[in-house]
Amino acid sequence: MTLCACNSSEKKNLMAVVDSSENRNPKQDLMLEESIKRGANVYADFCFSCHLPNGKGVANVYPPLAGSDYLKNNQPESIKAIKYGLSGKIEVNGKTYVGVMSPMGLENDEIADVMNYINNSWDNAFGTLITEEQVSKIEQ
Amino acid sequence: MKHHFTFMYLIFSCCWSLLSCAQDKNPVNTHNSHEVIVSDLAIPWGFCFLPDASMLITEKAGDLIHFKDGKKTLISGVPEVYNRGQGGLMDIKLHPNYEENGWIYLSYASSEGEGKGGHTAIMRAKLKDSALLESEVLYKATPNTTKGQHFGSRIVFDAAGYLFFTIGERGNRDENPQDITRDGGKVYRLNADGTIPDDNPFIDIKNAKTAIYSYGHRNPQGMVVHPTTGEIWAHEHGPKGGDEINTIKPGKNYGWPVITYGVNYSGTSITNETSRPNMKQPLYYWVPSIAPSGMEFITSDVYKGWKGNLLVGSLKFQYLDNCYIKDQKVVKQERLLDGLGRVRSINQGPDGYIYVGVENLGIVKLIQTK
Repeated sequence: MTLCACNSSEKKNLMAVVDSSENRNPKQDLMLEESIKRGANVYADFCFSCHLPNGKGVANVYPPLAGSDYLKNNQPESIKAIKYGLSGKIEVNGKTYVGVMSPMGLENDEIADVMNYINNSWDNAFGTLITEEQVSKIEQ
Repeated sequence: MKHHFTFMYLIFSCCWSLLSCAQDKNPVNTHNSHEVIVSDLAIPWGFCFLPDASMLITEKAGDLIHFKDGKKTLISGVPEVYNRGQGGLMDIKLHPNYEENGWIYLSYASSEGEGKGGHTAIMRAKLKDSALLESEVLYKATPNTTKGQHFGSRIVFDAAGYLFFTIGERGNRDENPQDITRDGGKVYRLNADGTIPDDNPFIDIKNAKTAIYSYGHRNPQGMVVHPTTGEIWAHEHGPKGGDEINTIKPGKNYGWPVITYGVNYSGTSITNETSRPNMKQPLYYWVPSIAPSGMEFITSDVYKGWKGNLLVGSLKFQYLDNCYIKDQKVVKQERLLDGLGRVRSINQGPDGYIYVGVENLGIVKLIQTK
């Protein structure tokens, strides 16, 4: 499901970490549901003054998360951005954003929860369950 | 035909800006520019000038930088900061008699004490050979919480030498700001050594946090002493709309969240009350919010026509708000440094020029042009 245009081996390893939860089962569905609920609180506390409650961000300043092709196609990079911050140029839905996102000081489980929230909110259905363990493996 | 096209374009762009997030209507003042004095700073949250005109600059992530003769030196002995959401290393201020006593004051998010998370703390220390020594924590708000919002925190000294500082309500709007037995959502006043002034407004109230000076605040990130009246002026972030400027008076209730000119970020209402007889009204409020940080009066003669103006930084709209004040009212505002970046801190330097801390840029000097 996750598309990856880049072919570095580091990225393949990251993709493997994220893809390992592809085989869903009812237990994982419940975990995902509960993670999303916790993630909603993380989002409200740390994310929505920039990305807004509707996930649309602010034109030219803060990229959208709702319907974001960058989020959909760059799951490990998105986890890394939340964990360590992100700066420089990215392209989201055809628009270029140049800016800086500071790391919010979130714990790994909070990062997993908020990733699950943004992956499954608004019209996003990027349903793979992200776990704390996966987040802990992502390095700067 | 040409006029018709221009007219339609204007209508279209006005409609477009109404549909997207609320636009700020302050006009741009084009007679200004800037010079980068200190480059490559991420979040210069606060800064001050030492007697030799060199600068001490806080980086929110926890570094204290001494900038002198074009060079940056990292100062050691900085307190460990709880770098979480909006919290980190925040303001820095010298004691009014710094040259005699050497005290430097810092506000920062700290996880010291019981419980997971953190809250705002105030420390004083002395600088010697690129290190902070003799550090004393003068105040540590409680309880610790893992919430990432609303740590405040600005520091000022008034003419009498009292230490004032702000602490935001830590994302606990319904418990903290209106309750004087709890920290958060307050302006505090201490003696410069950290003791409680014996005429503080709640000194005789059972269980009150006696350091409190005023309450009912949300998240003040700007505070300054008025250059002629000596009053404490502060601004604070409102929710969605409702950022305020207030004159801070002892024992007064500034109303959050019982009265506000703003609504929730989602658009839903917080309260339908904007005033109450026992709560103070703001001197000015902004709708839409400009997300104010940093506050300074221009007292020098360097800027023609701007002496006495109040400068407020806008994080959200990325400009320096030049507020013309008459009879304690904001009568006019203009955008300076329009679009330069998120304005975080503002201080008038020993040379009379205004220095501005801009996130992801550095510290710039404001220049007035013809």
